[in-house]
Amino acid sequence: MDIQQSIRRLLGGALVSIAAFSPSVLAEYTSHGISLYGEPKYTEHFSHFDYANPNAPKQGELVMAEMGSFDSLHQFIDLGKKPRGLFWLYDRLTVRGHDKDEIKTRYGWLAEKMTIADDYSSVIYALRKEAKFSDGYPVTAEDVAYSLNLYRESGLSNIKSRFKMVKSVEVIDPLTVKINFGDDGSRLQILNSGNLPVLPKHIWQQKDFTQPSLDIPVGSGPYKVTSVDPGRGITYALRDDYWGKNLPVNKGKYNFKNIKVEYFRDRNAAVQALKSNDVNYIAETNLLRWNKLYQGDVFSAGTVVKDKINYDAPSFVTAMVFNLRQAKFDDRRTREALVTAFDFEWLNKKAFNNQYTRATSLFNNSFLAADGLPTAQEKAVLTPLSAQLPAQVLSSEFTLPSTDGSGRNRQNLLKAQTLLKEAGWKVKSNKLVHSVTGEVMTINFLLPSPAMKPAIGAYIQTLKKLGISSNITVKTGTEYYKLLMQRQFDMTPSQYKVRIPPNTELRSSLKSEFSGVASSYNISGIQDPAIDELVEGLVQSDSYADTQAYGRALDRVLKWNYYYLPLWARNFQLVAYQNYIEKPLQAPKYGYEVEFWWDERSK
Amino acid sequence: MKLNSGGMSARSNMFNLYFIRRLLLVFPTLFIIISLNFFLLQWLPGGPVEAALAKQQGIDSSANALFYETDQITNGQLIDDQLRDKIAREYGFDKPLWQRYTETLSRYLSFELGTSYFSKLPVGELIFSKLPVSLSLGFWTLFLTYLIAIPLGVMKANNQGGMFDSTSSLLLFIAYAVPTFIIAIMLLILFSGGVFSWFPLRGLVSANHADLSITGQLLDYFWHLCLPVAACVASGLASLTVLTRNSIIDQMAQPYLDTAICMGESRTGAMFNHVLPNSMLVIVARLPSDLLSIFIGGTLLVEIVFSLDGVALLGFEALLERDYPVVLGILYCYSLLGLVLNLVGDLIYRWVDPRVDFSEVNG
Amino acid sequence: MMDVSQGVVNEQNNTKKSNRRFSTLRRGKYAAVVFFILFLVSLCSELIANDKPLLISYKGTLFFPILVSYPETQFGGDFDSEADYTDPFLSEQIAKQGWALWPFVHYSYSTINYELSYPSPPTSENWLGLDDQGRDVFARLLYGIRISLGFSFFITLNIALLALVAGTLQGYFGGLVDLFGQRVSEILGSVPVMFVVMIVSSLIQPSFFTLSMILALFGWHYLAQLVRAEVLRTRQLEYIQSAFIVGVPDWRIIWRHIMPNALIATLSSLPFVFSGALGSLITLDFLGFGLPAGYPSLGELISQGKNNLHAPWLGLTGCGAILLIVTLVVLMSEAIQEWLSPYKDKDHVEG
Repeated sequence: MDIQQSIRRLLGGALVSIAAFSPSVLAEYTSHGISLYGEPKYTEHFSHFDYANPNAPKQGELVMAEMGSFDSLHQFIDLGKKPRGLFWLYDRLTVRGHDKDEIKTRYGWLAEKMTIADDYSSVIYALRKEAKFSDGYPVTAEDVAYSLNLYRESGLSNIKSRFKMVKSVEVIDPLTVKINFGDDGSRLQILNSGNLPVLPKHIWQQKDFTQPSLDIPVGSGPYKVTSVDPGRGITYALRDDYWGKNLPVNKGKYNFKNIKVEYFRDRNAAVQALKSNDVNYIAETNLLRWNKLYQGDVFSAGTVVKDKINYDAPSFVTAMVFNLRQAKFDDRRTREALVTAFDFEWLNKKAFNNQYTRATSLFNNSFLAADGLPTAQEKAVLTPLSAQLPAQVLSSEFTLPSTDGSGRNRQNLLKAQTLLKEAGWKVKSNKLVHSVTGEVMTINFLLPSPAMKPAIGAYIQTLKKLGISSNITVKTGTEYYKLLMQRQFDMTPSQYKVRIPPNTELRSSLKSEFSGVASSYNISGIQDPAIDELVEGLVQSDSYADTQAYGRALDRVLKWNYYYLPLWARNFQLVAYQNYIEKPLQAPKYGYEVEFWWDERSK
Repeated sequence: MKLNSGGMSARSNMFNLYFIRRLLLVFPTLFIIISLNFFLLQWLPGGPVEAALAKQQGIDSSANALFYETDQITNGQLIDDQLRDKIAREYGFDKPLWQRYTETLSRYLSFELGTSYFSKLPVGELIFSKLPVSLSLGFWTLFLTYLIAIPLGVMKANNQGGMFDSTSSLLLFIAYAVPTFIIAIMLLILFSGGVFSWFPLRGLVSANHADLSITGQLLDYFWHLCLPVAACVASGLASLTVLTRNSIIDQMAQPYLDTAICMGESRTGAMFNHVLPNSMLVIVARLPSDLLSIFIGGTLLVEIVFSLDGVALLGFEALLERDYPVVLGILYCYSLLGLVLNLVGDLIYRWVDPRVDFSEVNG
Repeated sequence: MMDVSQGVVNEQNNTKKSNRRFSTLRRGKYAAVVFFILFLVSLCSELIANDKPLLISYKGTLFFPILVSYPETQFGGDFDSEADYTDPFLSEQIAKQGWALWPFVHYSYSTINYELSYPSPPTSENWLGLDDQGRDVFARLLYGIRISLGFSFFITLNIALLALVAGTLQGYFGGLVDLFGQRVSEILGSVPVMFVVMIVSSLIQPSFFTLSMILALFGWHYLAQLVRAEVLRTRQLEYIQSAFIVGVPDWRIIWRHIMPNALIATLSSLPFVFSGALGSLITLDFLGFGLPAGYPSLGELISQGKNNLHAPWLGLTGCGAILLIVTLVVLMSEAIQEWLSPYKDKDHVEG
């Protein structure tokens, strides 16, 4: 599959979606899958996904180390701490395709076919008749409708919001179910509706859905729970009688006979268990730990593999956001100075072994990230707003300041000092004071865990040279959350990962109307009419081309306003495993899935 | 404090009166402790409602976050007031403070511990499930402390003023004065991954515990307990050893011992027949307060350092997550235990040394 | 070998005993000397480990950076804020036009070593390595010891005063006063200090002063118990009983007879109070509820040690420092005990 072809398909998608607005003879169409833009990559009778190994042996076990503990096996409500892997107990209506040239596609899993109304007001799922729960009952449309209604009433908040737009659900016959969206329907809504774990009605009718419990759940999925030790571990076993093991979407998937999830309260203990082969798989999230902790004979000898798996999807972006509700950050040049003073290259070298890349945009590594000069389409979006934009948005290319990595960063600091002077700040007896308001510039960094300290410590020393005194407040959990909600900080780190397509969460992160809402993700309190317009345009655009134009335009405006200090972007997953664990040659686009891995040890 | 080794049946009316009075005092004290804890919790920034909301938005509030980076990616969820109110209702936070207070109080007065906010399990059950770990730690610590301290105390008494006595005293005092968790961390760094990796880092048993033979299981258990118990014992050894030593020296200075020896008893015999039994009384009198300090005192940080999933850690995590019923329940159990043990300790103390009296001074 | 007639109180003529007494006192004296040297050294931390030179001669003028803060522009630089003398640019400027006299260690507790990646093991430049934020461990240790010792002194003083007053009143008046006092200490003993500190630390950024006040407030009852027991004991003594009968006023009995005894009991356990206070501060810092971030604290060093097992020098440095301080304190306390032993008849260890 070459790039040209995929572009052609994507453009085709744009045409299709434009065509959707013209009156059409097609009232609906039926398919084995649905893609956000254009057609699904895999045809109806494909044999297996390219990133699966259809010949993977079904044997052995995976022992995963997880942090923390758990006290409930009821996965679908907010209460309780749940162990990892419960989703292996359930099937969903459709499964997401993760190929490298699919942006967002889902293929039938419990559903054999889906019939989509051309105005996206409804979708009809035709279920496979062979689907059965682990207790032998067939999976029916009743179960689907029942599950969906449970989620909408009392499910997890994020599942609830996923099905917020559903108007109603009808059971047409035992194997056919229709979900209605009314006017709120869109391709995205239909895609999301397939991501529905189906629960057995006959079980849940006799149980309280709203309370956590340690009862072993019944599902129709590939694994069943064989033993539970609350807080310490849980074991899943592959079901021999799983109804869907020969489906193309499941070919080469679910290869471990057993999966154990072991819980540790302490990373060191988990790594030690990996070294002694008590566990054979750890997913690591912290690069500092990755470099320091995962060392020793087993790693150098290769018995344990340290794998850094890159993926090609929007990155995790860590950025420091300004609290724009404070008058001291009002001037764009002030913010630019603070961004300029940050020495990323040095930090990356000293603390992260040069393994991070600088985040250049909140939309890093997605087709929404802007580069170079604005394209014609972007200009078309931006020009009407030009009065409210920094002049450079339309005329220049944005680059972040870079340094020589010595940690001294003198040139940039001089530039920052000039910018601060332009913005009216002056150093008086070692304090940076505003010449008009008389306000002294101090910065209070709010950090959610001590692990962020190394990254900010050096920055604080640097800011001293500009006459800015700053302090760090480390609060964890509830207290951090409370301070965040009360907006009691000057700068705080936050993580972004843009979703494709950008949807409502972007509104609550960037739009003015949310800057006053305590629980919103507009932490920095951005209030900018231009951004409001662009966000709205982006969320409402439904073709690839429009999405791209709005996304890139928005990206430019965010950058040139210096609304945040981008730190690093993560485009990789860190995972350490015993060398007898194997993975397919081709990785899926959105990060690996351990379901496709297998155990090489012959019995 | 000198020991009177004469007849010690001080079961006078005074004593009974004192006992009854102390017993009656337990309840008001318990009442004040519960109230204090309840109101202290209310003062904590961010209550269970915020904790639940933070969870909704994907913010980890467990003890892990204290020491490690969590990959926090908030899910962009908006919390509407409806949800907030629903959660507040769920935890009873829609009621006024005094009403919550009286409800809590009446619950505890009927020894009802309630259920956890977040896991919905009964608090009693939660505490009970963590007991094996805390009891293991406490029991072996106590056992080893007594096992080592008493012979050591006797040896020191025999060597009174000698080299062995003074050196061991010095070491014991140092171990006593260094915070328990510092010893724990040193052991951890030295033997559990920092310098040598001889001991495991986590929990009470290994992951493959179930597959081991009975002997293997026992070995595994002790192998895991080795360092934490060592840290606790090191701290607790000094007081008991010194007490043993001093009471033996005390007893040996008593005139009756000379009498016994004059009457032909051998020295060793005298030691075993008179000195040790009398000294033991004092040592037994110490048992309640030792129990208390071991079970409640130093165990929290040791549990944190060695990732032992015990009651103290449960309480600490519940505190971080604002799971009030669990925190209050644990504190309530501890306080009750503490009061009872205190009472028992005082009674034994009086019984052993009747000259200590608590009557008022007529001045 | 057991000498049955050997008592405890009357052995001034026993040579072995007096030898031991002498050596204990001598050891204690040395320990005290070392301890106070340590304290003095840590008081002069700025002169030993600092990122500012002690003295600079620039273009013929003398500057004292430790006492006065000079802007970088003073030395031909570009920034109006205080000069960063560790910056190679500035060192060159000064070297061209004069000279600088540096302290032993060119790092203060917050100075970052930009050259090495961190945490780094000990080098000739950084004697105890770098912590996980690139700061010099030796400097942090020095400044940390100062804070810890000052803090513990302050708490010990407060606790001693509170306990002496409360314990004496309880023991002397007995009855209702004692009953009430006992309940108060029972309640205080049952309040988890961690709670209180957590609450306070989230209401205000806990300063040195507030933190020590809280810890003193919740830490005096142990000592008070001890004082009380001692007072109960002395109250039974014959000369005090006869003082009652003669009708000497209460305050006078307390002041002249009871207090001195109680003071002795308190004095010999003060070192343990001191090490307890040190322990509390370190514990709180370890859990992150203690002094604000950025303070050089031993507790933070130890928690870094726990989180970086691959860098054992962090935790071992922190633990070693505490061990050293505690050992000195214990040696001193033994000497105090020994010195007091004519006045009382045995060691005290509170449980």
